[in-house]
Amino acid sequence: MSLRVIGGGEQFADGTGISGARLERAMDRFVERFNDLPVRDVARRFVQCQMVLGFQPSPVASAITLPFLNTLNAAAEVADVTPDGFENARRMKSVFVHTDVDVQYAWTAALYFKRPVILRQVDFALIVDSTYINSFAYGAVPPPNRANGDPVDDFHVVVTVDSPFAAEDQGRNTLLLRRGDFRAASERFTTQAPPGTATFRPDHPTNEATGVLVHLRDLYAPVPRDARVRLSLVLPHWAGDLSPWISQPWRLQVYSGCLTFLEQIG
Amino acid sequence: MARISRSRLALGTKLVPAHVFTPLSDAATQFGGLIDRTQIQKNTAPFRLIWHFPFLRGSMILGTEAANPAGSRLVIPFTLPPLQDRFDSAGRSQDDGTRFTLEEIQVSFDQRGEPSVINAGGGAGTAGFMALGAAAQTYDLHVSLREKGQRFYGETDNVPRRDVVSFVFPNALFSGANARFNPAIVTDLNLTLQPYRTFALYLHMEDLGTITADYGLVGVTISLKLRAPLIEPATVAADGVQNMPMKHNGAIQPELIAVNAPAVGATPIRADGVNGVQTNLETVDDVVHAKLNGGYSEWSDLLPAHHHLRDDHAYEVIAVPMFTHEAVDRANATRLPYVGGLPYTGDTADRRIVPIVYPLVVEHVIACINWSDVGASTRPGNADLIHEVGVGLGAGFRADDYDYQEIAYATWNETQASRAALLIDEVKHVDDGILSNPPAGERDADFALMHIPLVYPAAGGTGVGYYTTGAPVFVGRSWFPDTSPRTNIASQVGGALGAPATAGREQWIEVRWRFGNNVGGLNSHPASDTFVGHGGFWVYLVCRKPLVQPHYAAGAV
Repeated sequence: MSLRVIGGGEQFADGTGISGARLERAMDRFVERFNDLPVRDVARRFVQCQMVLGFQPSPVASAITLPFLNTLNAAAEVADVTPDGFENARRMKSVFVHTDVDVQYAWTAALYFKRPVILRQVDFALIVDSTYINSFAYGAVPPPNRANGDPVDDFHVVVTVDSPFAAEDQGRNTLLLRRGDFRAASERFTTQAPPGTATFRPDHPTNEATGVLVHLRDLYAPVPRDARVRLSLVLPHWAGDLSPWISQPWRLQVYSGCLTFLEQIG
Repeated sequence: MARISRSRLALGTKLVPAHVFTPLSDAATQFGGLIDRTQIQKNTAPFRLIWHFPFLRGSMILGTEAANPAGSRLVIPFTLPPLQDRFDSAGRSQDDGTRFTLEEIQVSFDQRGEPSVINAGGGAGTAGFMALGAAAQTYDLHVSLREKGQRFYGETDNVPRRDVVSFVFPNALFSGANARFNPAIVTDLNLTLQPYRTFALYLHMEDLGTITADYGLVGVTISLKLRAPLIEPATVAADGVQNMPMKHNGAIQPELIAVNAPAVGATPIRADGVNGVQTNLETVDDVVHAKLNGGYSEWSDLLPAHHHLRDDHAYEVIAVPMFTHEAVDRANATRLPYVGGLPYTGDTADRRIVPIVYPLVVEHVIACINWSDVGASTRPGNADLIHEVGVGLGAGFRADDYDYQEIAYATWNETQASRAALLIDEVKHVDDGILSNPPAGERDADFALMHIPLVYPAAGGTGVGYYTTGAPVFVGRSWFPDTSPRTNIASQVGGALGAPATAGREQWIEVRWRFGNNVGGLNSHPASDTFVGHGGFWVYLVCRKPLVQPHYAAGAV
């Protein structure tokens, strides 16, 4: 069998001539390669990096939605000079729920990757307790096509990559990942009662983490070089302030988000 | 040094086995887990410091010169301590793989897909609305990274004075009608950052809005991409790693490669056969062709008898945000949850869930407390105001059980004397700066970097860091029964040594920060006291991370 990597393409066989020059060349290339291994010779050549997001809303009712912003750009949302038109009147793709959802609020974080990376996992925890209350289930007056007690299926996690040819046109971006139309009951953080009160210090004033964890693992989604990646959590507001999101959906839970990606050594 | 050499075969030289088989044997020996970073072309691994701020108001922190002539800034202090096996108590830098290269800085924020700036709601106008007119054309984003010595090593100046890098992102990058550069990025910096130093990233946008319209930045993400050399792993034998899978204790299982050299003079030179040149070259070629292995699987396992690399780990910092919202003082103390009614004697707390994907070894935990605000704000100086910071491992996500294992914890009160026992450094953003004022008799500082010790047994900490700390803690998912049995870990700082409560089943790292005044309540403080500064607190997890692969290769674990 031939030498596939080392040896510079030389092959030696009994019955053929052996040349000191050939040996010298093969050994020279072998040693040179061995002492200067290219990255492709390393099987595990990636490392993980994690971007951690967090937000704890004020428990006091407030009309300030920040960091959540309306996904719809319209004249009514302009503080000063209204333009003739908007570049991205609807700036979020694939998050439609129902016409009765009159506003959707998106919290977005963006990263630029000069070199290719691999998106490995996306997690968004919506933690609730005795202060942050969200049953993640529709109430006595449910939205259309849903029943009282049905788990919510109306919020989204999306990851997009801006188009390299029309970077500002969100309609042309690539929807790299979308998690929506899922029943929140299938994404519960836990259904177990936490054991006792002593967990680790400091004890949390209320209880152990519970709520919903959108857990998107084993993605292995390649992200090309020079990519503008945007991670968004989109919450709905139903007309009539329907439960559980009521009038201020952003205020009902504490948020932990994490984007895990792999970058190559080098 | 793992590089191999050979004797050259000059013209007319007698060919002996050493010309061929000595370098082959040396290579075979190196395959036994001895290949180090000097043999790999690209031998550094990236890590990122990523900070995300949900929103930052222009008038409060980012700077409107008309309102704040002394200039307010968003300041983010951090430090890059060497890992425990390289930590020098005297702060001496060593050429041992502790060398950080800053490669790029980027800043991004949410503009709602338009060339807009966002109303932050502090003045007239509705928060979240876009401003697309003149206000959107006015902000240049100034970014600078500065460094200083650390109080721990005797530095007495709290102001970072040395400018590592400084640049401006002009407003044209963000206000273009059809083309914007957001995220804005500066690459190829190639700046060396030294360990045992405190760095502070400054962010400032002059004239962001006016004093009547409070504009701000929403969804601000700041990323520093750095590089550090590949390093060897931490093991139970060398480092006393806690919570390490007992299957391997961190010790690699090298692949044993046999090269069969012929005897000198007794055997004719052959290509084939057991002692043949081609045969033994192929033996080495096969190993390289199958690719060299190192690192960990996502299930905390090492490759059985198939490990080639010695330097298969890298430096990592995970920046965890806590209370990252607007500044909190007595006037808006109800902005904090769990404090109860007046006088707010309840403790408030925040927690973050960081999922465990690939294994890590946590080596240091550093907390950054922030009192920065504008105006006549003061830093609290009250022994009744107590902070607690803890890091734990959690098991129980969609599982039958629910457990936590503490891995780091510290507590202090809001007096300079109390912080002294854990103080790494203090930062004041500028001489006579307006971000905060100290209590009487205390040093002027807007931020403090605090050491949070890893758990260690009652007999004492065996780890190495700024102050007493425990041995590094392995963190990783497992599969039963292979990698779930773990070495002992202290139950808490000064606690009993025993089996981990999470029993190798950890799925997330949970960071908690709790503080409060249970005596007089937050309302008993002066109105000027800032409990949480703009931009919030941060907890830095300084770790050692392994090389990993993004998919399951045939035969791999």
